[in-house]
Amino acid sequence: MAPDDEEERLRSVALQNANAIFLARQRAERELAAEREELRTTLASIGDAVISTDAAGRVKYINAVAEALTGWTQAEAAGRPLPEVFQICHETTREPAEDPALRALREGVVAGLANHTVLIARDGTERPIDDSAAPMLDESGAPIGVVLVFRDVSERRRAEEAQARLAAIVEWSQDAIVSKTLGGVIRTWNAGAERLFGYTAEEAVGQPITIIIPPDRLDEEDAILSRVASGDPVEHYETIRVAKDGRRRHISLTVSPIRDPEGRIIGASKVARDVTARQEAEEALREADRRKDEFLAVLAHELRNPLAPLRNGLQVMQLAPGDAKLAAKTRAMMDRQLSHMVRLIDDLLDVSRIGCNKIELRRSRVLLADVVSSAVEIARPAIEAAGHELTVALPPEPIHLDADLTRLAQVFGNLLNNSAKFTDRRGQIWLTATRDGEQAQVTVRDTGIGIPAAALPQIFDLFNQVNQSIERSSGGLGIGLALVRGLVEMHGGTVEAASPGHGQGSTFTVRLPMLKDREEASPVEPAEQGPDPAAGSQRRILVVDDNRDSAASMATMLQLLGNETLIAHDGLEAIESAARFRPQVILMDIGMPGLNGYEATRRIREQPWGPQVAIIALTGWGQEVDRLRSKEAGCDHHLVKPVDLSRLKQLLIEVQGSNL
Amino acid sequence: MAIPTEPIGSIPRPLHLLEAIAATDGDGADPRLEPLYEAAVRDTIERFEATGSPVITDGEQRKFHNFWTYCVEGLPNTDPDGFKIPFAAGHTRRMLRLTGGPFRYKRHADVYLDAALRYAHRPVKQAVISPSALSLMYPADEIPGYSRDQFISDLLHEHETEVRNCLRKGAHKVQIDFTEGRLAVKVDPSGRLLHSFIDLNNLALSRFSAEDRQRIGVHTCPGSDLDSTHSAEVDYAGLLPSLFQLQAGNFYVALAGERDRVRVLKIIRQYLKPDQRVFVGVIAPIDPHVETPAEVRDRVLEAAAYLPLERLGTTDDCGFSPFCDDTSTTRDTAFAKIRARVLGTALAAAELGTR
Repeated sequence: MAPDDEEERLRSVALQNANAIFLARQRAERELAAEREELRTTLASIGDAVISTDAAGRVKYINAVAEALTGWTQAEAAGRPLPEVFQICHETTREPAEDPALRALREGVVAGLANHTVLIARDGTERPIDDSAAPMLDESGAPIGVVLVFRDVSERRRAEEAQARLAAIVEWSQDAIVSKTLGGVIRTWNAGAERLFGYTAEEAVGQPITIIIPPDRLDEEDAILSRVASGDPVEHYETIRVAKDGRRRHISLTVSPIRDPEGRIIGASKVARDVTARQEAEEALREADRRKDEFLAVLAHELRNPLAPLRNGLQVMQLAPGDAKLAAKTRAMMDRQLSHMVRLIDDLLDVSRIGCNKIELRRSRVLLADVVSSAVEIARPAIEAAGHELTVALPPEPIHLDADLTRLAQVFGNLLNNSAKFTDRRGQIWLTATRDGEQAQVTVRDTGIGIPAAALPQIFDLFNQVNQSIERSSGGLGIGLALVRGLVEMHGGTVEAASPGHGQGSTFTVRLPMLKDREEASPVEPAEQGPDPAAGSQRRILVVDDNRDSAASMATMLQLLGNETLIAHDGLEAIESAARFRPQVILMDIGMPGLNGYEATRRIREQPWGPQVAIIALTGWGQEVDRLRSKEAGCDHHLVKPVDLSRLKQLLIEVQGSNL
Repeated sequence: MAIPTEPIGSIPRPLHLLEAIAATDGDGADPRLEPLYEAAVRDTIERFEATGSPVITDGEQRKFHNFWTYCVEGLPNTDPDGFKIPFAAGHTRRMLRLTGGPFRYKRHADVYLDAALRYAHRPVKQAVISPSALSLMYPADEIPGYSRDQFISDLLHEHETEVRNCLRKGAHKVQIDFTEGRLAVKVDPSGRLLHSFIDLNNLALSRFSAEDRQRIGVHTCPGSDLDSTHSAEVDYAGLLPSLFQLQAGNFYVALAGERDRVRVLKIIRQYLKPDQRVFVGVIAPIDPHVETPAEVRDRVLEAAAYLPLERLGTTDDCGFSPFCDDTSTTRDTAFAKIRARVLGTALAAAELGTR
């Protein structure tokens, strides 16, 4: 036995230790309480809903999020069976879902919720949730309760659905949608990209984006990536990319930065739209516009060319009024220039009419030889002027065509004129007609400047000029070949051009369907009657034109033909003059200030004496609609300026016979 | 029906080891002793396993100088003039006294476990000293610059570390030696001293999970040294009700040496909690007589009459040599007694299984 003082000392130490132990226990309890409070605070503040139960599955604790989702408060929920507070069912079948908390309690394992489970709140609101439940065990391992953690996944579900929709949009987009890293490595590649660039997703993903960038545009990619890396999108940037098969594609590119959840830029998304067709269409439009501008310039030039000698001729006659020989020579020159101008304008009008399907062919059974003969006559002046040698070869047997002789002669005349124009002086031109099965084939070949291969496909296009400098020097609008093609096609034929190259001549080949021996030609419309040479009977003619020179010169010409004339310069004056002058014929201009020709005609027709007057519209407007309008207004005939004198004389005879 | 049976811990050291330790003037940590310790551990484990004991120990062959001071032996901030523990035979054992902070273990018991596991083929349990026993190292007078509060805090930390290490390394059980419990009742019959010990030990135990605590046990006995005890005369009724307040899953209670075992069993039955298992002592290490398996069987059957079988186990009343220099019991006797415990427990289980 130890001495008493030893035991007393032991008791003393133990007692002092007891105080320290008591303090330590208090400290531990405080720490435990703090931990519990921290846990409670954590559970109350976390974003997930938390419900804990006792061993019987009755609610002990429910945090604020769980209160919000279930609609039960802590006070209301405490002590209630969990299924009463935590009602769940399958979102589709509506069958009650197995409560993971009760399973965790029953089996002592962590249990999760089945997919597509919805929580039914106290007020009936349903929310998709996911959750897990973990049992709480006592010291012996027996369950003493369960902790159920769940969360509203509505947003996530919506996000997933949105993502799925987005993925579908991306997948089915007609545009190529590609994502890549900032290092330019392809990460995603949709079906649109497969279609546009020809690489499958399997081939493209993981490859550098440079597989679709032409070598001459590699710098672009660096600039784009640099810009995207700084957060700036690149929008509607039009450039060229190259497909797997090497074809270059015009694309409109929009590149946007891809950010990670922290907002850092980790890549770029690229939407590429194939604008090749649009680019080509735009290029074609630009080309057409360019040709039109060029044509207008040429037109102005070509129309101005004859004006100069016309003016010169007038001045010559003014300077030498008494020189009859000089006057005759000058008039001949002026007539040629005027004819040239009229021909230019007629060509223009013909091309326009072909484009609008407004040319009517006067078909008849014609001999190809006659057509060729007429054509040669048309082109002879130009061929002879250039000193060319023309060789015409026709088959021995006759070839009949169902054709408009005048128009077809115009076709071959144009081709011959073309050869004459684009062949150096003293060149050779061959026109050869052959039978090719059921077709007649006519070739016009020359030793001219030829046609570059690249220009051949567009050689028959309107306003197309292979070599403008030559075209200009040779005169012409560059519409002759367009007219040729239009007229040939109207006859059911084809025309094509060939040339071995520059300086090696050209060959134009026209193929036309032949008429079989017994085949009837289209009904022949009655030919227009030629002018009656017996013109010259005196008539009273009112000339209406706001252009005073035009009116005066027409009046003079009619007086020289033996007629009595009066001039009016607008519609109202025309009505007044007609009432006083009582003309037999009125030459009525249409476009006039104040009362136009249509209205003036209507008012004249309303006069008691009006119906007996022959009114001939005389205008610059020669379209079919213009003719219809003048007819509706009451005009008997429609002439297009500049008026052909023989045609006018014929009309005067006609109206004299019918009306006077 | 198997009834678990486990040893307490110590086995008398081989005499040549004790002679070698005596020959080295120090704390038993002389490197030259290392081969001897290793051989003693290996031999002990071999013989332990030969007894058929389903759970073994390393016999505490490396614990120097005893079950109480092994973790602080050799600390520079201690003096050997701590409290004296008087034994009935008249001798005393003296504790170390802390002279300065901070308090740190010199070694943790898991180093013994490391060595034992190298040789063991059966589950190994590891005994550690209780925080309450070591709390008595802090003197009555405050150590300047190192408060008692800080000491208690450090003590709890060191103990927790030791237990956790043992659990982590795979100890079948970690047994906390709480021999001072019964002594506390003797020194302070009011129970205040005992309660302070219980409080301190519970503070330590509260740091472990319920699962961990199922692998932690508490051993109580009246002491066993040189065939003598320090508190055998103390009525268990003063200790056991408080003992079972400890938040441990297992209790190793000396019973074989008790005069009135039935009374003790009744007290145990009254205070043992549903989640606690009690291993009752069926071997008295200080009794030179080697129990027969039949005697052990009868003691088990006696205990089974008062305690539910599913919460009953058997053990020795105490280690066979808690102090390393105790040679009052031979190694042969110790293993013979252990063999008797194992066989007797199996006999009882067989008998209980046929009833």
